Amino acid sequence: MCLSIPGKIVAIEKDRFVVDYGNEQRIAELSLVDVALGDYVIISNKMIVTKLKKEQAQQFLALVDNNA
Amino acid sequence: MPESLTPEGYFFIYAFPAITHCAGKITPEEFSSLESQAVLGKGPSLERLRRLFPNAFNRIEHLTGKIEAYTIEDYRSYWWIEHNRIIDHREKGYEQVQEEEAELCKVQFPIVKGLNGRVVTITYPTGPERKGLNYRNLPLQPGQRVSIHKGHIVEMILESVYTAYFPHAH
Repeated sequence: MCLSIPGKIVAIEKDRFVVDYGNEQRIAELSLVDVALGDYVIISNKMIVTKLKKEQAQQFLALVDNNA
Repeated sequence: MPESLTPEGYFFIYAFPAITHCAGKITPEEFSSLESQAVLGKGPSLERLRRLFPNAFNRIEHLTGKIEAYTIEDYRSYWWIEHNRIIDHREKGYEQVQEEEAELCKVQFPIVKGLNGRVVTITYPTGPERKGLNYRNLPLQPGQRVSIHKGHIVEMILESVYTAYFPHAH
């Protein structure tokens, strides 16, 4: 299984993206896509690999919550 | 020139992009060590891999009928065929996955279009341009077919090998 949970970008510093997962925050050091504050993204190994539409991300997070 | 990899090294260069999902199984120090091994194409032992990726090895055991002595072909068939089939059919935990994440999780075979340091622009026959990370520092050139998993360029692919697996692909 290689599924990832989407997180929300809450800060962008120089070459660093702070991504919030509700219960923790993680740092990405590179992004393969153009991103902005508030975007929902998927991280793999400290790298943002894709951006999700807000509705898609929230739908996925709701599924995770329901299955928790 | 094809790389010389051990079977477990071959499995691991594809598995490494998903290593962050082994939460609780590895420490940050172990992560750094595993990253170095993946970059070099060296794999942990079969026992360690089995602990890190139990779902994958359950499928590989089922597919090969073996519990050890796997070959590169065994692992290639898993990553290139079975892993993608499971995702396409939304089986084994992928039932609710949306298209974007499904495509990201699958192993795909784009062509290198351009290079900017370790960030590589790649193209798909039927899709848009995307970017990938040359995480193993492969000697890539434009026009080279590669495999990619979760945004990580995994290996350079010979066209003859690609067409043997996917004779009807572009």
